[in-house]
Amino acid sequence: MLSRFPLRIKFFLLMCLLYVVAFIVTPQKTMTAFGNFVQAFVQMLPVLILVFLVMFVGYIFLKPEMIHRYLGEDSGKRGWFAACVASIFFSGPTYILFPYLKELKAQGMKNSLIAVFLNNRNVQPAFVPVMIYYFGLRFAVVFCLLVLGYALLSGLLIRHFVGEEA
Amino acid sequence: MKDAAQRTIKNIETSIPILVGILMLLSLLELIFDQYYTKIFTGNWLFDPLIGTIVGSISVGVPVASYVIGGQLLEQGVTLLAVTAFVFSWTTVGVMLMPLEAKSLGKKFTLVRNGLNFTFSIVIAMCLSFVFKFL
Repeated sequence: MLSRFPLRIKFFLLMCLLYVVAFIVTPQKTMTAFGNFVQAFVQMLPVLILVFLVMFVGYIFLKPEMIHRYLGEDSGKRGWFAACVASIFFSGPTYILFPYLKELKAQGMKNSLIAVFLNNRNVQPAFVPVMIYYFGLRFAVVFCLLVLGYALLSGLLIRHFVGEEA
Repeated sequence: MKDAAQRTIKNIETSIPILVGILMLLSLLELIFDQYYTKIFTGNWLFDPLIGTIVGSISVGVPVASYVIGGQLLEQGVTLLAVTAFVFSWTTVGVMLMPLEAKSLGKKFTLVRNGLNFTFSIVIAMCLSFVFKFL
């Protein structure tokens, strides 16, 4: 019966089961843990609402065809900029990206741009409020700059070690 | 507009059970491992980010989940070095996803990209901690 549920639901159910077992073993500690969880979730809620609002606005303006247009064949120097921008605004999980990038690669997208696109995915406006909430503005700014810098460097390194069409 | 709303709802459906589950797990683990974190993460400039990178590399999920876990770990006394490496490697190194990546983008590309990201996740963590010493 459990097999028909997606993995994320199974994970959530497993955590609930873990709490039930923990409650049987040590009720007091489990109640404290549950209280901490509720507190942490309630604190995170306003940030999450903001995240999904930003995501919604992003989806209105960013279409998959745009990524294809700016990252495809003959994108030139503009492609490096486009790879950075596209990765910033694409907030889906990585495993969804691979088949799509394979398609783009078949149509002429360079390895260096794929690396930039994949490695710059920590800098996303939708998630930045959560980063600021947990780590502070100072961390968020320095971290995002380092990620962006490394994403570009990784493009050059991939071009050097792998080549553009391997 | 309708398409954007549907995609956002799908994202909420995907993210919320994982985020809630992670918070539940962390709250429980916090009570058990609280006293051990400071013993494992001593502030060593190589060892801390190395552990953070290894854990981040074998984890899979949306980037926002790594911030939640990282924030909680930081509160529990894990060093910034380890947490930065963990957050960075979470999205850039995907050990679990390597077969899929290799199938889509090629073996050499996958091995070099993940290898570089693993190494640089330690370097980035060191750089950030170094910058923080002067900010």
